[in-house]
Amino acid sequence: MHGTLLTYGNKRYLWAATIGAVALLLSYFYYASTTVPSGSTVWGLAYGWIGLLAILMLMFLGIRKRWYFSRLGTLQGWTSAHVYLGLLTLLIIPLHAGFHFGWDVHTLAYLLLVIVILSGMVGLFLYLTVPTILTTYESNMLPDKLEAEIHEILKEMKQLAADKPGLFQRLYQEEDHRCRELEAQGWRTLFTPVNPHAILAQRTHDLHNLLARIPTSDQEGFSQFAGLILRKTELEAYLAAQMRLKNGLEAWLYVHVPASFAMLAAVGVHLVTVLYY
Amino acid sequence: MPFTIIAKERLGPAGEKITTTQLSGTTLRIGRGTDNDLHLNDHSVQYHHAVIQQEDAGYVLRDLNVLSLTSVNDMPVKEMVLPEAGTIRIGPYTFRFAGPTATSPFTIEYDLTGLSPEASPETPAPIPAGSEATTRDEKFRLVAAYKLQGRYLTKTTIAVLAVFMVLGGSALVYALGKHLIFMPGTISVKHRLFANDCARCHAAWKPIFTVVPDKTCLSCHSGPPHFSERAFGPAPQCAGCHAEHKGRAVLAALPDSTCIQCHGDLKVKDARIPIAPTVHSFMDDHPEFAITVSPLGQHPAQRARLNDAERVADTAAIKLDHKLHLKSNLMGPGGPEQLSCASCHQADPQGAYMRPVTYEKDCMRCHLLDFDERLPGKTIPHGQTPEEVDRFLRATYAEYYLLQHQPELKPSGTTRRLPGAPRPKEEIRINGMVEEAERLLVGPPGSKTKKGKCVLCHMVEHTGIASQSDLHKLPMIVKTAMPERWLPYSYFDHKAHLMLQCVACHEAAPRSERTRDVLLPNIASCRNCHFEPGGARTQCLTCHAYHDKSQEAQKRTDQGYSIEQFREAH
Repeated sequence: MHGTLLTYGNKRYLWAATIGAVALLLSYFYYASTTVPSGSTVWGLAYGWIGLLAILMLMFLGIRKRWYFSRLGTLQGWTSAHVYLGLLTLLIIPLHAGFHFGWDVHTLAYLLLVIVILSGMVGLFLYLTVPTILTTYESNMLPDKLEAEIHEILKEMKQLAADKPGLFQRLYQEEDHRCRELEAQGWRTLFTPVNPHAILAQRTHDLHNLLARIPTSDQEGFSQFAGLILRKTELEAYLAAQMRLKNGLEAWLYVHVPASFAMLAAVGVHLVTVLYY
Repeated sequence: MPFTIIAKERLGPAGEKITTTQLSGTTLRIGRGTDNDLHLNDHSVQYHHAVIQQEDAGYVLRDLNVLSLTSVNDMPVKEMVLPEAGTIRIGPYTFRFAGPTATSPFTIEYDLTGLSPEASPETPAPIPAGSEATTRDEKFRLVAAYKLQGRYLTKTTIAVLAVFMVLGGSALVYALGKHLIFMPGTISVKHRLFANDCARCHAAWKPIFTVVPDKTCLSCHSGPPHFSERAFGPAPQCAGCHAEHKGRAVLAALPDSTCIQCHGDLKVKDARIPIAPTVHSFMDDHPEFAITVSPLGQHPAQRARLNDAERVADTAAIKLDHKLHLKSNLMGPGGPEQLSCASCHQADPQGAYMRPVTYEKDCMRCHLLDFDERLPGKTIPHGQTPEEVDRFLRATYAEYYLLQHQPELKPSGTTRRLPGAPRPKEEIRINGMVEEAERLLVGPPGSKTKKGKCVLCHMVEHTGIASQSDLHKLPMIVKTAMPERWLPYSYFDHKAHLMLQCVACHEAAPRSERTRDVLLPNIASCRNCHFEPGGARTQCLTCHAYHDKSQEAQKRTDQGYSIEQFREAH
């Protein structure tokens, strides 16, 4: 089952894009048989207009996404159309250019468009696969909730450690300190998977080693304390895993959006250049 | 039933709710996960915390954690055969268990009061409103530490930076003079030297769909017009056909479609041009080749197609029998010999066309113009006017007479003859010899005599020009006017066809007995090799050119760029 992003409205945008692509290709074959294709012919200019309108429509998603009161279709419909129109634009521009590329600002505009679309494909892939993976990591709690739970556990730990030997307090301090002083690692952990199992196993092993230093009378208390530590560790790992996946859902936009504006700028330079001379 | 689980919950004054669950199987799984038989929703309970298994030894409790988090009767245990009764503590839960007896199975009983509600095992413990737990600790940085968006690292800042790089980069490159990156499409090889100087050809802000004006192209190139037969409309613009920036490396190498856009549907308004077929390709509807039958330079030229037997004729006013010349055992000056095409026809220095056949180069070796047996070795100079020939003969015979009758001659006081006085006998004798020679020269040809040397090859007219002696009228050789170029509207290169025999294309030559025969190959002969697909080239430009090269303007010596100027802004 894929999300309805690709299949929205009975795949109407997939159909529209496919029919559009076929129509464009057929028209191009006719056009290429009559003259040398290039951007400066009547046909070339027509394709250029289509491409420009497509790009403007694609960029409009950014506005529609934030226009909460809009009744202009649904956001999901817009996103579905955005995906398919983006793929179609990959075809429109070479038809406009007559497949002439070179080391110039015009090909730069197309190159940036390709970067935008490739990053979009990556994003689409992430949109379709990441949410499922997210559910394996404590899907009933979002990171904020996880953070609150961890906070609660720390409180319990503090209570539990109150009348216990110093080791307990030290352990509590360590746990508390980490939560407050964790350094920014959103980008760093993007490409290193979080393995809650391994983290938990390691922590359990460490606590087991500490067990020997606990007096027998406190051992039962320690086992409960340790249970809390392990639970906290588990929640932290899940939080890291969730945040990493959520970051994945967002990180590609750091390429997609700036590249699209850079592409707009390059298209602007292109238009000025070709209309100036 | 191996296991009975009884969960009690006191619901305040309403009493208590007791839930009894019977489980079959030999294993009771305990833990926080919902897949456990006994699901406990508390932090300190691990996902799969413990199991109680029915074994031969009895009911065995195993704590599944590395570190024991389960106590039996207040003692942390990892693995234990449960006694008949006791308490198990897991996290905040205390279970009272009783081993199976004759009357009851293994029973676990626990009190849920105050602990997590059984009804919604998926939700965590609700945090009571107003308690300390609801305030977020702002110093907590767990979620914040994993956020991608930094203070400066946002999508907006990156986008602004990217736009700045594109625009700034473009401006910088423009300022550095590298205008080539703004050029759409590539430029032809010969224009690359000044490709950075857009203004060399382009005026700024021109209307869309216009091209560079002709004046700009003509500042370097001469673009002679199409052949003057063209009688329709204004000439197309240079850039209309020779379009730059379309990826063509050589601008002159235009496809057939450029020619066909006119010649495919040639609308001729001038009735002087009778033959104006439409042509779409060499293979399909290119007409039979047409020779120019009117004299060169006449406009408009009269042309006849090679398949028009009546009008196609070599009107060169010369007599040549190719078949005779090419026969074996042709009698030459040194005996019998075999002539070939190359005996008379040689190509010009470029190898493209054949040099005109001339008497001196090609005929004289065999056809000497000796005219009198008494004067062996004396030959008429070829190609002179009748008067010149007459004077030559007169001088020759005068000399001859002088030598013959030398002792008789007396010097005379004057050579002037008084009008009416009888001519000297020497003069009469000489005139007679001259007249005889001239009559023989233009008389009927004969192989054994010197007769008819001129008429062997030439047509003779009898003109009204009087001879020097005024005694007879001079014959005149009709001017030959052999065409040098049969097909002046196309270009042919013999050198490219060196691998073929002459007769491979000029098939009719060995059989031709009449001068009238035009011995050019027809289009079918060319199509033997020039065909599509897979054959030699059949493009219009293979044989034709748009620009009439004969009208190419001569360069004035003071025009042109210096090297630095030419390569300016490169």
